Amino acid sequence: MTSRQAIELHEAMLLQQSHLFTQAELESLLEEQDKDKLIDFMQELINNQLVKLAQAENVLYYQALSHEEAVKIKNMTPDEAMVYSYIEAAGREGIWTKTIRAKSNLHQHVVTRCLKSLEGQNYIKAVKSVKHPTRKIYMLYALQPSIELTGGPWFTEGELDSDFINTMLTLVWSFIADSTYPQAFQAPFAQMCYPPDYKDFPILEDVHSWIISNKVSTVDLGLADVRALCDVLVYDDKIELTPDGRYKATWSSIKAKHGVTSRGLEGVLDVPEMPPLSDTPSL
Amino acid sequence: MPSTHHLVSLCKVLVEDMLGQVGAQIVLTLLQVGRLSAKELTKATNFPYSAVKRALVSLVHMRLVLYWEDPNQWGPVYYRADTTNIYHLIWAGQVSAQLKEQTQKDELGPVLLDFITNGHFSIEGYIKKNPEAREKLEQLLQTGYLVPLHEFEFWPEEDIKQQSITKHFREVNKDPTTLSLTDNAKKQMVDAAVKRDLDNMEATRQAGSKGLVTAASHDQKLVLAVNYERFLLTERRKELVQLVDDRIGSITAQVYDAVLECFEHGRSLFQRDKERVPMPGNIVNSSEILLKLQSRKEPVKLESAFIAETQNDEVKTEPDAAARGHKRMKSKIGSISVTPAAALTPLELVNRHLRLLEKAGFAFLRRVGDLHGGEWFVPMSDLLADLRRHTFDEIVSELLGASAARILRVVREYSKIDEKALSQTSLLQSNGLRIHTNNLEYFGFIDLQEVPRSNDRAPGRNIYLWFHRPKWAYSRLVEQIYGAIAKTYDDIFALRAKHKTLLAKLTRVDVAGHEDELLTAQEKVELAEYTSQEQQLWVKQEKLDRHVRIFCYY
Repeated sequence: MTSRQAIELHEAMLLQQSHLFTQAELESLLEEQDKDKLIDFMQELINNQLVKLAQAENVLYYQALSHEEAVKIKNMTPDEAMVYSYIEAAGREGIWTKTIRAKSNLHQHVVTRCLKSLEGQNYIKAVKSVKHPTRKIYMLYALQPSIELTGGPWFTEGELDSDFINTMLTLVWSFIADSTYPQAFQAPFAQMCYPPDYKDFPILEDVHSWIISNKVSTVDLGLADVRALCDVLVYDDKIELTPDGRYKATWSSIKAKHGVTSRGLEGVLDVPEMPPLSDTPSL
Repeated sequence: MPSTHHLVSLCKVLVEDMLGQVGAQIVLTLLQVGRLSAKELTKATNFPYSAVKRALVSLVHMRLVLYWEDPNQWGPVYYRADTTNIYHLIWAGQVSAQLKEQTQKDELGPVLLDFITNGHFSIEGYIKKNPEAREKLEQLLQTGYLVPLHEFEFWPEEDIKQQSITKHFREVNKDPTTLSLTDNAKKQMVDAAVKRDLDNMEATRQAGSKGLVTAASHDQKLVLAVNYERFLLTERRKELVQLVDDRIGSITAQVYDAVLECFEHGRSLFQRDKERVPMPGNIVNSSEILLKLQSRKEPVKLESAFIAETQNDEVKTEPDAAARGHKRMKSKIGSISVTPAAALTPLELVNRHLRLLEKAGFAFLRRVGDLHGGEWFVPMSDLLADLRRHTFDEIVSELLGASAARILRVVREYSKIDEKALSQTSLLQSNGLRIHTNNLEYFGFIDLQEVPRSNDRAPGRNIYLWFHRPKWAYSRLVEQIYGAIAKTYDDIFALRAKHKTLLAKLTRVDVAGHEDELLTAQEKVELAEYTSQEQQLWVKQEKLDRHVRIFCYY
């Protein structure tokens, strides 16, 4: 049973969502001068899983939990609660099963059982890490994995989404090509360019706002993501970056689009059979 | 040119095609062993001494083998194969074709071909053989396809240099004024003197190839040879114009062709030292370029290359009479106000194209002054580096795919990069990326550096960094191309051997010129098949050779 004053204190704490309270703040919140009583109330709330403790730089903090959260933790076994607390603490970065085992000092079987149980109740979920694809990483069910974990917009389920990237590259190139040579895709195909002083070629922000305004991508792309796309187009020699930070399509990419190929060594130099990958040093 | 495995094979094949097996074996031995005397060659090849001497006469006559005899002491004559001159044999057909294209005259071709197949002739000797050839020789001298040949061009450059070093060291040591000098100071003096000697030699070579003198004014005993640099200069120009066509467009390419024509005016030899920095003689102005364009048979529509107005119809033309002194319209393109191309003077239009070239990502042009509408310089060494890089990327893209070319460019930009960063930057999956890096490494286009993290150098803890060395990568590519050219020649020989009966019949005096009547239906089909296959092989060889020229000769 929880005392009325403890319930009032809990409700007052809940009003300031996710706030971490120091003892002094709690004293002012309770308007109770007797410190022993405050400690009693807090102990009551901790026993009922309505408050959890946190420590930073030798200062003790208290955080109020909702009733649903409290019921959830109350229904867990002590091992499950401990595993859950580590997973919760890891936040959007997630936590590796091996780290849980090391921190909790629980046996592998116990940890596995706890994880299975928590996953079954949809309290936690397993996520794939782009950096460490072989690791089993867990995080709270309601959280979205961080960009470091997912790899950003270019990854789908931990795999680089080549189709999405190639589609985006084609679309971005088309936009820049159209801005550089607006008449290049009209017949007859001939040189038709802007004068050398022309300064309105798109900058990175223009490409970004074009993607957003035309809803080209279902995934939210930031400026850094668009820059990565443009960089790849530069590496593909499809666009070039001018000294004043503007993007221009290369004439050779326009020619290639029209099927005018360069005079290379296609079919002239034989590509010998490559040695198997196992012969190369593992990276 | 350093001799490599495939280059040696190619040289052997080329000499075999021209002079037969004895000559080919001698060249092969010289390339494998180094310089040898005739007696040593006899031992090494097991050919009779007389056969070796006979073959050497032809090889030296064509300068495929250079000789050296120390003028200061008695000793044997040493011979050394010259891969550059041997490789020139590949261009025999192309030089003739270019000559025809440049002069529009068919009759000069056979004369030039005589010089290609025989190496050199004196004017007197050739005219004695072909009395009607005097005028043709004059024309070939004027166009720069034939140049006077000097004695030192039969000697290996290393030996000439060594002789000069020995001579100058002797002089310096004898000179009493240099007694107090340190060895280092003496060496510097000798180096300067040797450089002077070599420069004088080059100046002598250049002086005789201005293309301004006629055969009649020459000493009739003057020896002439084919000038392959004349061929290379024209081919280089075509290559650079094609590059502009690829990067900017066909109309600007025609303007650039005129620029290069002015830049190389009167030259029939490379003058690489003069191409490095802008100086009087290698600066061209806009007026000259315009004149060159106006002298073309087909007029170049300079104004048609530019977009006249914006697409969104924000364009408003306005009179600008005050600024120009006459009625002049202005258009708004984007945020800038420009005069429509149709209203520009020809000189302004040329300048507009030149500015396009200046602003391109390649070192096509550099503005160095404002006289005569603008003064321009072609930074040739930078431009050729750009051309090589671009061509190399194209080859990688065609051989190994666009992703491999992307990886190569990323590695080049970052200098050294590990696999994870490479994957992130190129947006390629690690598995796919590894296949491409493996292929690139196999060809020698990129390399891997291991950086140990700890003293135990455990491979698992090492950092692996990819990097690209252009010179090394290009040399590896050229080596592959030499191999491919040698293989093309082998295929041609095999094709000729397969159809030897037919070819023997075709060369018969009674059949030549009467093939339609004297060949059976089956032989005609066989001939058509042979001609088509051989043509394909020659096209392949020409494509390969184009890349060798870009990486080794321009």
